[in-house]
Amino acid sequence: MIRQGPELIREGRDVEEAADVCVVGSGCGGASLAAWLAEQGKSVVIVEQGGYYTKDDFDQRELNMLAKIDGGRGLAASDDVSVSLTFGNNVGGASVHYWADSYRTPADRLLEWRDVFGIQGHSEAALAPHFAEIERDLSVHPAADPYANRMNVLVKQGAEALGWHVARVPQARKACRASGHCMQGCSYDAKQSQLVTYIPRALAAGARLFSDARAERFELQGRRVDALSARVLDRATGRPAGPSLRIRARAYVVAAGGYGTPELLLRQGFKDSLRALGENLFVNPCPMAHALFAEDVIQWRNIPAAWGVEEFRLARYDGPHRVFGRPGTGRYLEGGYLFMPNQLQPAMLGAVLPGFGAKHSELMRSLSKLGGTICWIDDVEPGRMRIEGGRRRLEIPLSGGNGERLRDAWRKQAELLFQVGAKQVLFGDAEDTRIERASQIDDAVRRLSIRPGRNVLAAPHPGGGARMGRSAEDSVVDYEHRVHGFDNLFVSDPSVFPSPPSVDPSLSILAFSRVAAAAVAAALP
Amino acid sequence: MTEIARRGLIQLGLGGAALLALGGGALAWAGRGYALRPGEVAIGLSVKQLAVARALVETLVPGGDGLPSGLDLGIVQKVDEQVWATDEGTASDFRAALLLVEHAPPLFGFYSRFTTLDAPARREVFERMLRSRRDVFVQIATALKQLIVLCYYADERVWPHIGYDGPWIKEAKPPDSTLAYAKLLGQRGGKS
Repeated sequence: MIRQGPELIREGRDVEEAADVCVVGSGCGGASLAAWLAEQGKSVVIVEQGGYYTKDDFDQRELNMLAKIDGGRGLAASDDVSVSLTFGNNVGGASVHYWADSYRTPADRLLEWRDVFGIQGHSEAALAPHFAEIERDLSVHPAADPYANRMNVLVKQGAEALGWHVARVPQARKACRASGHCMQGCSYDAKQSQLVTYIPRALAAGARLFSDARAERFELQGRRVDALSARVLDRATGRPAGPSLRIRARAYVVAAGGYGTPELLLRQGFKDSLRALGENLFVNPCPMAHALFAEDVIQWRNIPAAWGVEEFRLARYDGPHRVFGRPGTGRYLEGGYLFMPNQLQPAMLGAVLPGFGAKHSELMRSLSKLGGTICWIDDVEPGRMRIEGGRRRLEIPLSGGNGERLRDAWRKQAELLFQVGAKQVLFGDAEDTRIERASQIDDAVRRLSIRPGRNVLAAPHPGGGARMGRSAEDSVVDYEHRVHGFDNLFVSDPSVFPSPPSVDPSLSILAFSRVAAAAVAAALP
Repeated sequence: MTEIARRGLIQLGLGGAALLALGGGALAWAGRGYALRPGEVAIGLSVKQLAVARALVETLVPGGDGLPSGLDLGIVQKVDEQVWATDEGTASDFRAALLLVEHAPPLFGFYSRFTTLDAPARREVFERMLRSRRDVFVQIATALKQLIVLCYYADERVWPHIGYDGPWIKEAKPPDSTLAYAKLLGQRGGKS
């Protein structure tokens, strides 16, 4: 059963629901957990802030789809406008606009989480069966050759010529039509987002889903959450517009995403007892490099990333390496990011290309010859979220270790782009830095300013704001995803990760959600 | 006061504060010296903010060489729609950013408001904002440019001129916000 905001507003009556489990959020963390619990016979209510849209609503137009499925209509940014916040705001969450890149959490990162951060119960061996099942559910497979557009082929060729490890990117797709509109939501239900996988399974097993409903307040009784109140939102403006929801459940799971979960918990005033709440935030800031080629690249068709450069996933140091939020004594050498072909439709591409007026439109007239790359930086400097004056504030540091990695990522991207014949490489900064030869790379990258607003960086993979750990002294949830100090409040999304997973996070979130689901089931009295 | 305006004050120092005070004074005179053009309606923005948005659209997406102008495509109204439909925090930042642009030219050597400058002077001011040592101007110039350029290249009338073959789904399905905004616009005598 799905009940949507417009229907609830028309009816105009407050709604009371009771369930075994109330899940806030319907992305990778929430939808999968809801499905698994519902299939075990638990009664589940899902509360989702965004609207419910299906493939029939996806028209592949950027502005229309930003309004339907992207948080803040794609206009949200960190406090200093350094990074654009990319997150889902719809049933299915960010998986509806994601690229479908589906990596298991690398074994080295799981070991680091165990050995450095003390994480228990989430080892490679513990997660392996979950990964296998999730990969079957989502049809995860390596991208085949027909799905590599020209930009992908160039990335593969460039990486091979430079001696960098490049590999097929695992994809969650079925019978992909290769339209290139993954970020606008798949109009063919080929991308295996939560919308077409775990959400239907949860509903088939009896889960009740309320869309356009913003979770606002947990009612507490000692160590237990007694109820959750939510407001129905007007879909046109996202503002409260009508009746309220009140859900009484035996357990509550916050799965509102890397930005949404710490924000919701901070708004409850939990920071006083959970000092780590909103701290240790990471976002995978994404530096891009654009390139003009002599040949047609047509970057906007086919899947975004069939080939990815894995050579630099782990940073290299000349001594002990840095771990997220911790100092290291080694000198940084290179790496600390995944490196992908980029894919943007023209409006978003126009927005991130440098300059304006005639100079900018000259670039856009060369659209078919414009290609580019993007890197997901494995953050080492933690960011922070807080609530100030009722508004969410977000500090995302781009200096220190993050800055070193950003510069190296720009350097490597330019190197590869020239290797495969770029006539000009553009860094997209406010100063409009452009170079035409590989010999100019070092000087150009050294001069790039990383001060607020001067670069275009997306932040698509947030997490860490409700990290997992031993006690409330250093973390927000325990190893069973339960919020410290509560008996029946859990978190199931990337907020619990102690550091970035170093790959696109969707599969990591799903596997962790399996562990969370088991803990929630076990906790039901 | 919005986040951008507060950061602006801190970064601009005394001169900037005086500048903003002038801007604030001008707010009290909202509407004076600013007018809507035929068919325009200010819903998400004030009349003054809409005038600044119009000047920016003329500067950033002027068209030419076969490309349609942002003004002819109604991008000013589209920007107003985005501000109307977004959350109040983001919307107030955009509104503040527009006011800062309007009163910034003296800091870049042009003793006039942005809306009353001629086209070459506006281009020069905007270029200097993007390259300014003061972060706040780079931030607001970048944010406003991104919003306006996004609206412009999302317009399918531009696509044939840049070689973009467009979506495979032929029928546009506007979001609820666009439908609701169009209704408001119609009620107030505007055209989209």
